[in-house]
This record gives sequence, C-alpha cells and structure tokens, in this order.
Amino acid sequence: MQVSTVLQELCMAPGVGGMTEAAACATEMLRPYCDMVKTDAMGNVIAWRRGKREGLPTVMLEAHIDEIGFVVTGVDDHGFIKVSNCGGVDNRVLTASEVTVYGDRPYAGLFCSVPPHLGGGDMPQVKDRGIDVGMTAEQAKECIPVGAPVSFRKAYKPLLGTRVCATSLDDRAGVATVLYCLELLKDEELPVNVAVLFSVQEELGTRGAPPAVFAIDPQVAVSVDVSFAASAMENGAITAKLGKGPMVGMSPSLNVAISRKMAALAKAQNIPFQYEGMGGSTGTNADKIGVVRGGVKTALLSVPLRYMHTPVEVADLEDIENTARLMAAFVKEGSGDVC
Amino acid sequence: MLKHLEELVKLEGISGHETPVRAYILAALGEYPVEYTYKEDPLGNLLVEVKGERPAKQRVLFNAHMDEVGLVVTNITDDGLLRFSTAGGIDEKVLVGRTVTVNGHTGVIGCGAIHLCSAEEKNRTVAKDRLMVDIGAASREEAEAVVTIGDPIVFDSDIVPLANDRFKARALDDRAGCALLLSLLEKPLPFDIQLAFTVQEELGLRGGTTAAFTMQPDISVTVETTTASDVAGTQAGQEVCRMGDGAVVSFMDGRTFYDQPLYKHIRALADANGIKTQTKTTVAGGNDAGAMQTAGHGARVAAVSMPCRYIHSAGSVLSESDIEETCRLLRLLAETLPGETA
Repeated sequence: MQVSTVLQELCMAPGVGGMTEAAACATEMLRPYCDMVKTDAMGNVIAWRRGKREGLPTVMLEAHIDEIGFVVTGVDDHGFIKVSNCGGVDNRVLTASEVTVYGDRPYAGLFCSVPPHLGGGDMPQVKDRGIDVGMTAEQAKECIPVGAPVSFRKAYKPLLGTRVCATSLDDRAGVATVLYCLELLKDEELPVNVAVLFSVQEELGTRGAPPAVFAIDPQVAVSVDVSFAASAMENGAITAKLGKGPMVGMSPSLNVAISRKMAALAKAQNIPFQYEGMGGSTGTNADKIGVVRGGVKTALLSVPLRYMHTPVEVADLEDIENTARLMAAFVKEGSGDVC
Repeated sequence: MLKHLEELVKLEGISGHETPVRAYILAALGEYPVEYTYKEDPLGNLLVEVKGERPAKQRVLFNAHMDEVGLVVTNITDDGLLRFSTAGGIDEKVLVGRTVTVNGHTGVIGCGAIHLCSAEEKNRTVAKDRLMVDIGAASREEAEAVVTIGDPIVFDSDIVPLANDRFKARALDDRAGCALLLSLLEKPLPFDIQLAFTVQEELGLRGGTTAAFTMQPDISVTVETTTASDVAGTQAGQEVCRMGDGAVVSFMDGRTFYDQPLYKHIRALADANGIKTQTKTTVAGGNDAGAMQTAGHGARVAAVSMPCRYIHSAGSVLSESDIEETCRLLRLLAETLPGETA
C-alpha cells in the first residue's frame, strides 16, 4: 500500500461528529488485513487479526477517526448559516475559510468576512459568525436543517519532499499509521491477537473509545495520535520536529515500561524517534483507555503535526511510516514481554 | 460564466507580476472581429485603441486592472519557512489557515496549535508579521532551491459554485473587470473607444496614472469589483452595497469624488433601459478612477462595479446576475458616451 494514497482517501472523507463517511472508508481499508471488522453502537470501528494460536493476549492499536468541525444551529434572516463548533476548532482561521455544509446534499460555503474598516476589526466568536452558501433564508431553512454537520472544505496537497498539507490529519495520520502497521505485519505470524480500534468522538472529549475498549478487553494498548511539532509560531516552547520520527509519549498516565520499550525498540531498529514528555495526562484517548475495566497497559505514539486544528495541518509521510514501523516492531517483538 | 473569466482567475498576477494576465488578454483581443491597435507602456499597462464604425466625438476610456492582491517573499528562515509582506491591502484575518502557491509549489499559512494558546490569544488575530508560508522545506537550502526573495505568492483558490447564481473564485478583483472590457468587443461598436488593462492598481493606482497620461481620455469609466459587506457580522448600514442588486455606480469613494453629472447620467440611462444599478452607501475603498481623474490634463470619471463579497481574500464571491447587469450597462455606455459632444 501507498501511505500517501491511503492518507489522501482518509483525509478527503468527512468525519465530523456523527458523520460516518470516514469510518466507512477506514472499514473498507481494514478488511484485507483483518479476520473481522464491525461497527459498535457509537460508530466505533473495531477489527481483529488473530495471532498464531488460541489463548494469546490482545494488543489493541487505536486511532481516532473523527475530526473537528461544526454543527448547524440555525439560519439568520439573510440566509447565513449559524453554527456551533464540534470539537476544538481554531477560531483564528475561520474568517473567509471554505467549508462544506452537509444539508440535504453537500453545499460549498465560506465563513463571512467583514473588512476592518466596516466593523470587522475584532475577531468574532464562532456563535457570532455566519456561513455564506449563497442562499436566501427561505432556501437555507429548506435545505440545511439544524443539526447538519459542517466540515472545513476537504483538501489534501503535497508540499516539498514527503510533507503534506491536509484537513483532518488529526487523526487520519494515526489511522493511516495503524493501516500501514497492518500492512507491515500482513505476512507475519503474530505472538498476540491484534485488535484495531478507530474511535469516534475523540474531539468531543475522548468519549468514543471507552465502550469499544470495554468490548475489546485488551491487555495492552498502543494509541496513535498527532502531537505538536515546532513551526516557529510557538516561541521555542515546542521542541519536537517534523520529519524526526514518531514521538514516544512519556507521561505519568502511560505505562512506563512499555513507553521505555518503545524507545529501546526504536534505537535497536534504527527507527528515528523523539521523546514527548508530558507532566500530567496526555490529552488523548490513551488517558481514557488506560482506565477501562480493571486497567489497560497503554502507550502513546504521536505523529508530529504543525498547525493542529486548522484546515492546513502539515505532517511528514516519513513520520507516519516510521511510527507504523515502530508499532509493528512492538507488536512483533515487544508485546510478548509486557502482556 | 462570462467568457474568459474562468481562464483569467486561474492566472497568477499580483501587482508588478501581471505578465501572464497581459499575455492572455493580448491573445484574447485577437479573437474578436474588431480593428484595434495597442501598446504596452513602460509599467506594463496594455493600452488599446479600438476602431468603431466612426470616430468618437470624445475619447472614452474603459479601464480595468490586471493585478490582484497577494504576497511577496521577503526572507527565508533557517528552518525553510518564508517570511512575506503583503502586496495590496489584505486583512491578516483572512491569511491564516489558507493555502497559497509560490512558483507552482503549495504552501500553507498556519498558526501555532490552539491548544498551546492562552485564553486571550485564542481569539486574537495572529499578527501579520508573525505569519509565515510553509512549503514543506526542512531547511533554508531546500526552500532556496525553489524560492527566491522577491518571488510572488498568490492565494490557492479555485472556482466553486455556490447556491443560486453565485460563485467563489480568486482574483475576481479585477479579472472580472478585464473580462467585461473584452466583452465590449463581441459586437461591432458604433464609435472608436479606448481600453486600458492596467497594472499595480493594488499598490495605489500606479498603472492608472501613466495609462491616463498616455491615453488622454475625456471620460474614463473604471470597471471594477467593489466591497459588498451585506454579510453576517456587518453592522446595519455598513453594507456598502448589496449582492444581487445590480451594477454599482459610485458618486464618491475613498479616492474619488466622481463627476456628478456623469454619475447621474449613467444611473438615469440605466433606469431608462431597465438595467439594475445601485450606489455605494459608504464612502470607502478606491480604484483607478482616482488616478484617471487627475493624471495629465484630467478627465471626467465614473466607476461601474460588481458587488463582491470577501474581496481581497482567497474566496471572493460574485453573482452572475450582477455581472450581467454590469455588462449591459457597459455596452450601453460604450455605444453612447463616445457619440456625445464633450
């Protein structure tokens, strides 16, 4: 498989809270690698690849399939669409940004922009913004019901080298990582059962994963999300870099032994990596996965990402491939010791 | 869509870099069954004298600018990011979160993750001088292999139909005006007219100044797009003009106090011919009329504009019906104004 092709397809499929297109796309991509793929009551995608014999422990590989976006709350008197955010959207990038409104069919639109000399000087809150789809109020009320999801206009564009710019690399980069890991493992006999979880509603507060983890009941979990890569906009506060390999999460909420094992495996196999030290929780699904049932030993790998939660997120395909290599190495060689 | 507009908005031509637009228009001129002579002036204006069925009683110059707002690379960082300056007036709020094109390469204008911002920073515009273009280069060397300081950067934006007769595109200001000037050549004209496709309007009406000096018109009609702020977030009364209400004929803007008899004449002529016009209800903005009025020995000036939402952003929006009304009005002006005695 080509990581770029898979990632592009995933990024172009919408997956704002409640939408199923991205999950359906990922489901089809999982089928060639798995013995069983299903969707649970919340919309989580769960898949299994059995190990070489009965009675093996289960390692779960997780990434979230949802993305930030908006939900329609109404239509104003002039036909502009009012929305609320669905996840932690960056309000600073909304002015004049292109979106797709999923009404009775998808409609192209833009967030209104008011020139500074006409009262548009201050940054409006999301609730005070409107989306222009070109409709009258009557048309909009007919075609775009309250509750309809809205995404940034889907885009995927190669940059120089192996870097790409796309909407929702958070966390389709993680989904692509898990898929590429399965590709690397496809001809291997596995010492564990591998379960895959592509979870929903992460952006609404890591809500989707717990019930799916409850059902899967893994001994060990490796969550893969995106994390902050330096972009010259953070005044030196961020040290991780694009293109320097997976970020191995080191946090009190993660399993220390597995986290160290990840770093050791990366060194042994010459996979570039960088540590990501976090004082408290990780802000990812890993925090929630660890406390499902009687507890799950959980590690976190992150794909470095610039401009998170904007429509122009930037990642490096090599980082995705290297994250998948490390994940595959762990499944094949590292997971037996820690289960 | 108006002939040529689809092609014109694909062309990259920020101020000072209008060559692709001029080349396109020059080729397009040759398609029409009209006699014309042209010259390029030292700044790059394309100045055209079009033969009609008889000589004009007064010289009437129809003009539109070829340039668009954009960015210029001013420096390259050690990390391979591009610092830039704006060419033309661009609100910094519409820059962040956009993709752009530089020398055919895609770049992005991002900002630090919202998760890392203080509560105050989360709703504060990112200052223009902090923004950079990221083309994916991992080092200065990698960036310098494809970009040089001074290179133009344009918005990365395509044509997207919205509902009804509206569409979004880049550079509608003022390629839509250029396309309308070309449309005047579709049928034989009763009188000679002048056309000027100008440069550097967005830098402060620079091309219009030299074009007017050379062409010495008696009357200049500037064909433009103008801010329609009839959108969510605008205070009542600050809309300037309204999309769908037809051609905008200005009596005054930030750069020009228009010739009042000419203004009244144009609106009355439109009314008499069933053409929808409106005027700007806010004195703001400016266009080449400001240069045409005072260059050389001066001229009587008018501006006829299409209401444009989100002008000077990657996603400007026009309505086909407004283009149509403006097109009809211009045709009428081209057929009548040169026949009137100065």
